Amino acid sequence: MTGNEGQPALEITGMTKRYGGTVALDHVSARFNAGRIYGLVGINGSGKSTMIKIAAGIEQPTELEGLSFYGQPASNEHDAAAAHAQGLRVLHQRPAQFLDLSVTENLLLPDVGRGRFGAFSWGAAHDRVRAMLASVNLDIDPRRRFGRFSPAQRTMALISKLLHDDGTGGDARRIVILDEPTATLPEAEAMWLLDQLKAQKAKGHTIIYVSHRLDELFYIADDLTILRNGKMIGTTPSSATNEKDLVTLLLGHELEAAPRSTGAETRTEGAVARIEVTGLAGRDAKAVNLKVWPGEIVGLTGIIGSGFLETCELIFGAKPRKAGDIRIDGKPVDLRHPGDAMRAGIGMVPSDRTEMAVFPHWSLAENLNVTQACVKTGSVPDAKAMIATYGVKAPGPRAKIWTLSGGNQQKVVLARWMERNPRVLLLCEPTAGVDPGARDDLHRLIRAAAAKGCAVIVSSTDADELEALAHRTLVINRGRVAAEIPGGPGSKTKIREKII
Amino acid sequence: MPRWFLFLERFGLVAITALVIAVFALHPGTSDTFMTVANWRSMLGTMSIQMLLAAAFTLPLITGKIDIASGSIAVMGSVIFAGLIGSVEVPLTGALGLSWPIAAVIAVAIGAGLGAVNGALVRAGADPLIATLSMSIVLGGLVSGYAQGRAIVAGMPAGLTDLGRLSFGPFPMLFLVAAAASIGVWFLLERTSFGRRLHAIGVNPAAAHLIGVRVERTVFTAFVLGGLIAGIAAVVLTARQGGGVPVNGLNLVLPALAGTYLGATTIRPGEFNIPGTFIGLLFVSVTVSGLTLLGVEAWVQPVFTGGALVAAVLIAHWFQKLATKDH
Repeated sequence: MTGNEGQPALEITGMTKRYGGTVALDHVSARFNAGRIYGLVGINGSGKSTMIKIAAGIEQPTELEGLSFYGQPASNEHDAAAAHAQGLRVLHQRPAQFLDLSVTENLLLPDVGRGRFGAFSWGAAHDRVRAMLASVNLDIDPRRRFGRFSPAQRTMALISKLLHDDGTGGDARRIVILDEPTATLPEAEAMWLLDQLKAQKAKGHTIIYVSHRLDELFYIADDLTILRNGKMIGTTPSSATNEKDLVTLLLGHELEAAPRSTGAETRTEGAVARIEVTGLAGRDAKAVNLKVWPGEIVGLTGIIGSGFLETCELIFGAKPRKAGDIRIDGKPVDLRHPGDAMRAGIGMVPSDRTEMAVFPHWSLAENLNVTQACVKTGSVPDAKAMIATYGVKAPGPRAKIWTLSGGNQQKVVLARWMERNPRVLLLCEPTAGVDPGARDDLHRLIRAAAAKGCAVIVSSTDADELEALAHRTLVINRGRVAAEIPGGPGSKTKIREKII
Repeated sequence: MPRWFLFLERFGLVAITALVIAVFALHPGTSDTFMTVANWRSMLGTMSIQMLLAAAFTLPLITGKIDIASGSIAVMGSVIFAGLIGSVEVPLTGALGLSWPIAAVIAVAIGAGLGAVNGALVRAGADPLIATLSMSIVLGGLVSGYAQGRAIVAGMPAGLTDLGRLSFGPFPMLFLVAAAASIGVWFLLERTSFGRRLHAIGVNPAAAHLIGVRVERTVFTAFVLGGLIAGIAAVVLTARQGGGVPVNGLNLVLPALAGTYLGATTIRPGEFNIPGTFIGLLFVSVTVSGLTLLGVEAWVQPVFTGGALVAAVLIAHWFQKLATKDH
């Protein structure tokens, strides 16, 4: 422990931000002490990102009574450069990464330094980066291509850049804001990252950690700072609360208890499975066998590269299938392309919403109707009615899709398929990076689809999600089903054990 | 975003074009010639080629693949078309003197075939700009070889040359052909599921694949259809020029490309759209015509077209920044 624990690193008093008529932040005050980890929580629209942007000098507040760094008030012209000089660093969601450049270039660009004759010295640059990586206990070769390392290692490397971007490799104290650094990481990797972060607070760094994953917040945060509807609810030691109370604080009301069924009742003896997959193989999957009955929700999980995500993509025909038979209601089908799968009554929500599902710049209605409009199957549905049915929070069907929160975009993507009354739904990481309220809505929609007789496969690395949704979960290891875990309370612990 | 701003963004270029027309109609130096039927026939006649070329390359352009070969395809089609019907000795067919409607069908088929070559190159992984640029250079050489450096004008049938001269009031027949083709492409893009697929691919090809669109096949089809329309442009070009003239196809396509990008700043700002393209081409045409009538020298025309294009791109960018500022 350093002697400065308890000293406020960042203090905000009476921060208000209005955009036209809407109040994003309403007289918010908060204090973040040095050498501690804070979980900053709130559902989408609670004002988290606005607060971060104002502190980082990216946006100007409407009113502000006080903003100070290590006890020193910020100047009236607080901007991004001033916040940087005070030691504030932000790791944004999806930070820029150059996968084909070296680790060194990723950590030093744009300033790679200069050696003799003004030329840049690779040796000196690698040495600087080695020192930076060592400070976060990361043992990777700075000369290698950045893309060959795991997402968690890359994230940690970028964090080391935030801690040492003055080039000294020294021990200047930093206030580091991390915006959902684990949103795209599988659980095991996320845990590793969290452990690495915990080691940093002892050096006097202050970490403000933004996440929707509640289990992570309880694991890493000393204190939880809670925002709701632009108001500060308060800061509480994480040991003094629990997940259920926190969700109530976040939403302002209790979460509805999830209706639960074992799934056993949907599987009548001798009945034909809705979908049966035998010996499915692709790049990661080696020989996946599974059966899902109508009305059943089956989880698929594993580590990245085990084939649990690829299984869905192979069934859907989105990636070339090397081997394997697929039967729908007992009838063999040859699915070589997503179009074939759609004709067989299959729908798939891909794992990466932004890259693989959403048509940016298009309206909400166009995004909802896209399958019908493009593939001419079924009539174009009424977008306005769908917005109400699927609980999408949006100004109207003509709103641009990118103005919606991640959770609402995901509802649109799910609605796109549910509207077709699919016989099989394949969902890849359906609630990654989605706030607890929207996540609850999405889970309800998925259960509703199953209740209508759809066979649902949920590929997820989130054990909480699998416990909440799945009637049973298959753990994939090295391309094969390694274990089957029955659903219900407590199943997440068993799932986690089996993955590791 | 205030409503007036959205209105300005959508109809700014329309208003500017109307203003330019009004200025030249009233200006003492141009008022007695600018608004004459003869001048409008001349402007719209030039536009008809540009409209057809724009309609041709807009199909692949919507999918995010630029195609600059359509001008060269049109020239290639034009000299072969003229060679097939004229009384000039040309390689392969000699002085065949084929009936022009049959030759027109052949020219359109050649356009589609050359479009298919472009599509196949892109499908095989070639960068579309480089593939269609190479195609233009190759076709330029083949055109020179075929026409042996001269214009093929002798023995053009009266039916074809009349088509080039025929007008309804200020509207040349060829302009009406181009307008019909443009409306056809507009319908294809905006009112059919094939059009929706092209848009979807342009916006997010990975997502398009995952909703069942056969991305590579659809892009290939777009190139073939683009070549087919360039083949129609070949026939119109021949009718207008009274024969096949071995010009550089790139010089033909660049003004059309400028009009298309200008058009992306209006009607549906930020997107290539056929009505916008029409406005963009009209804006350039009326301005160039007015300036010519004022006695401005010929070199001003490309300088103005290029300058207008850069200005349009900057204005569109500025609009887009303003529009996203609130979010």
